[in-house]
Amino acid sequence: MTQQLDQVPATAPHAALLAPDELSAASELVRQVLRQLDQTLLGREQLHRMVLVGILSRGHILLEGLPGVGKTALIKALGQTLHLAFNRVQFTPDLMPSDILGTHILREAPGGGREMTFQPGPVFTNILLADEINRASPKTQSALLEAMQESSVTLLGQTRELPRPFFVLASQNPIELEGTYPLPEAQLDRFLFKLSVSGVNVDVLTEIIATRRRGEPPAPTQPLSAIDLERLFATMERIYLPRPVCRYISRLVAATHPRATEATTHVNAYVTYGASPRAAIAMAEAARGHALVDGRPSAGFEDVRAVAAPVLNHRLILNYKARFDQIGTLAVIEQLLDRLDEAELNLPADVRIEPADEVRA
Amino acid sequence: MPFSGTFPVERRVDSMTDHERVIAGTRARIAAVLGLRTAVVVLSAWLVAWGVAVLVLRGVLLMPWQPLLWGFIGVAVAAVAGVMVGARRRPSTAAVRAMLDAHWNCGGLLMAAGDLGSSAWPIPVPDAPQPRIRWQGHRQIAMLLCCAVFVLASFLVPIELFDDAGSRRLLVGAEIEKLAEKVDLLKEEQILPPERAKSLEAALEQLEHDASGDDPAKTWEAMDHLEQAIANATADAAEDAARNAERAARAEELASALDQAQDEMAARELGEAMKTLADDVQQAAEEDHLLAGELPEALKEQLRTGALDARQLAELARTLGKCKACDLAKLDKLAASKLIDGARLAELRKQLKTDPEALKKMLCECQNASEVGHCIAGCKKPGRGGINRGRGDAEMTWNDGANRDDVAFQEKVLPPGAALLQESRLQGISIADPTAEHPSDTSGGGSLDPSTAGRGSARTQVILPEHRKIIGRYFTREPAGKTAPAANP
Repeated sequence: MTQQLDQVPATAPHAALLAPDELSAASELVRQVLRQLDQTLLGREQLHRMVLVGILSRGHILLEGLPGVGKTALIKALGQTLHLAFNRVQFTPDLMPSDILGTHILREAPGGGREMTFQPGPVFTNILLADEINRASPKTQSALLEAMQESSVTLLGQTRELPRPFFVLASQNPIELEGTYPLPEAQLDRFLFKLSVSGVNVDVLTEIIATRRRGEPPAPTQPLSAIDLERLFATMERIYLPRPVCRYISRLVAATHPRATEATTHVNAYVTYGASPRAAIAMAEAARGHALVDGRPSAGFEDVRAVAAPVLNHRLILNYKARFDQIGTLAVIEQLLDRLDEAELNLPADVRIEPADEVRA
Repeated sequence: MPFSGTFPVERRVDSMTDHERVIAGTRARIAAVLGLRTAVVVLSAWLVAWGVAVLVLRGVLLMPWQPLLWGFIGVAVAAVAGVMVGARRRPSTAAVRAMLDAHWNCGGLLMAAGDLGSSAWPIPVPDAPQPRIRWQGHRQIAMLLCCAVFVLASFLVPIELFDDAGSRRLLVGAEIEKLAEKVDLLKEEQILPPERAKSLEAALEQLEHDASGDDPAKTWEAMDHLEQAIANATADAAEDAARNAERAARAEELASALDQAQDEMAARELGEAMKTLADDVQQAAEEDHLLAGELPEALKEQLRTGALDARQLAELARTLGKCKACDLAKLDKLAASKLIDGARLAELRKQLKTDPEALKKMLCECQNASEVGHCIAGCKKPGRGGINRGRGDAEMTWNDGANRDDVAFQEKVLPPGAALLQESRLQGISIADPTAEHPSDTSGGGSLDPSTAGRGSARTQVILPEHRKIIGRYFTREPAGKTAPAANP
């Protein structure tokens, strides 16, 4: 069930702001997807939102969490909800690239004789679940680079396009590191988000045990149609990203580099390499997706702050001192968000502007 | 000093116009705060510069404080310039809009509304839409106050503290004033030439200005030098005046005596006396410009011929008395200013007392013209002559001199003090009686003095000369063979 959604009508992105009624349909679809996901996996509302933001941004997502916390179930439910093709590959050390990408095999031709025919691998799908991706060898991991970046596969000099949309949702186990191959930075950079899947609390567990036999989640009752998904992506194209927000994203990414103009003390002390321009692009797209999930026609600074951590946390390469001081990427990002002035007023340090007290809707 | 404010809003602002108004108002308030902040900084800088300038101008140039108040104009200029510069640093409208969008949690709607124009999306607006602008200006305000106090102090600090030379000025004003009065008197009495008086006045003024307590010896030395110069000039003038007065007194005495004895003396003796009188008066007139000016031309002609009648003699005596009085008056002024010794003036007055009657008797008793000459000459002698009798200008009487032949002087290195005599110069001859000074028996050499050291060496005594003429005659080298007359004590 492969969907081709690359024929999304091009819209003039900034000709006019989306009208409320134009956005309401998309918002309803988003709420529907979230509702389905929340019904499928209990107690993961925030994770579902971020996964949906990643999907709307057409980005790949790396899920990190312990076994059994529902990573595979989430991705499976997402594929069912979005009515997209879904393949799962369990990555092992002996997994070969051809096991993912596909291979040419010799076959009897219908007219007689033999010919080499291409047998597509599991990558030819809309949603690829790369389970425990860090268990595969670097060679196999690298086989996904072209597929993730170009949405195509090149074998024996022939490039084959992957179905659109194409998402890689990978998972990795953070505790069982023996016999694993950490993902190279180049591949990590291709993931839009790195989301941490944590455990659920007692109430959620109780609910799961009480309502589900063998923990099997219910099948989605209202999957999206291809047109709905196309509409969502079309709406996503019209989410307005104001110039100051673009500037804020750029400054935020630039500030992740040590000795940058606006680099914070944590960045200068603990970061070896900052985020790439791809991170800025990913953050802009993710901010748009977050705005859409929030039901707004424009992305604001709060959208950037919401997606900054998932976008940046796997792109910052910390040094040994960070490990020694037990400083993680989240602490670095948190300080960046705290210190950087969104509007770039360039006021003197002793002049501060405090927000208004209350907000009326 | 926190600067904060809220924009009172009583109604919900959700139209574009109201948004723009709020943005503009926020921007204006930020500009005001920035302007105020920059004005405080610039004002502080100006106050520091002004205070320093005040200190320098008052301390170095000794400028009065009133003109320095023009610096207040700089205060206004600095304040205005600071406000303008600060206001120019205000953020752009887009930046303020973005800031308000973030503060109001508009999710980019406010920015989108500003970029794309009006939209149908309601923008969430807080009850108090204007954010609070806080300026933590404690330090700048404190600095401004300190600078203001500095400027105030620069005006209030006494200027004497700046006048370093004045703070250690040597107060010689009274002494300088006394010297100036003396110079004025000498100038008034025409004792000092105008150029000399002017140079002395300039020197006094310079001395008063340069008098410093750091080196008082130099000031006092300069004052002593000036005082000595004034004293020298005064002494010369006093000597001249006294000499002229004495000559006039003697001539007046002779004129009065001749006037009285005109009928009793023989014509020949009278003529001799007249001739002597005429010579004396003419000689006095040559040296005394006052007398020369006072004598009528007819009287001068008669003096040349040596024949004066009774009326002319009386007129001559009156003129001479007038000149004497003028000289004495000048000396009185000098004595009143303590330029000369009053005791000496009193002594001079005693000496100027004449007795024409006695002279008349002496003249009448003369038998011939030669006796008249001796009589008059004897009257002119200030003393009997001698090394310790009579005045300094008394004629010495020399009699049999000692033979200096075959007498060899013993060469001896004079003590250093003797060399100073060679550099001495004649200042004048005092008419006062010589005063015998009796120095102490010992030479005052302290522990090095042989007489007090008890080493049995010869007793030394400094013998000061008692009469200049004796010393002068002693050193007079006459051709070999001639016998130098010895002084007759």
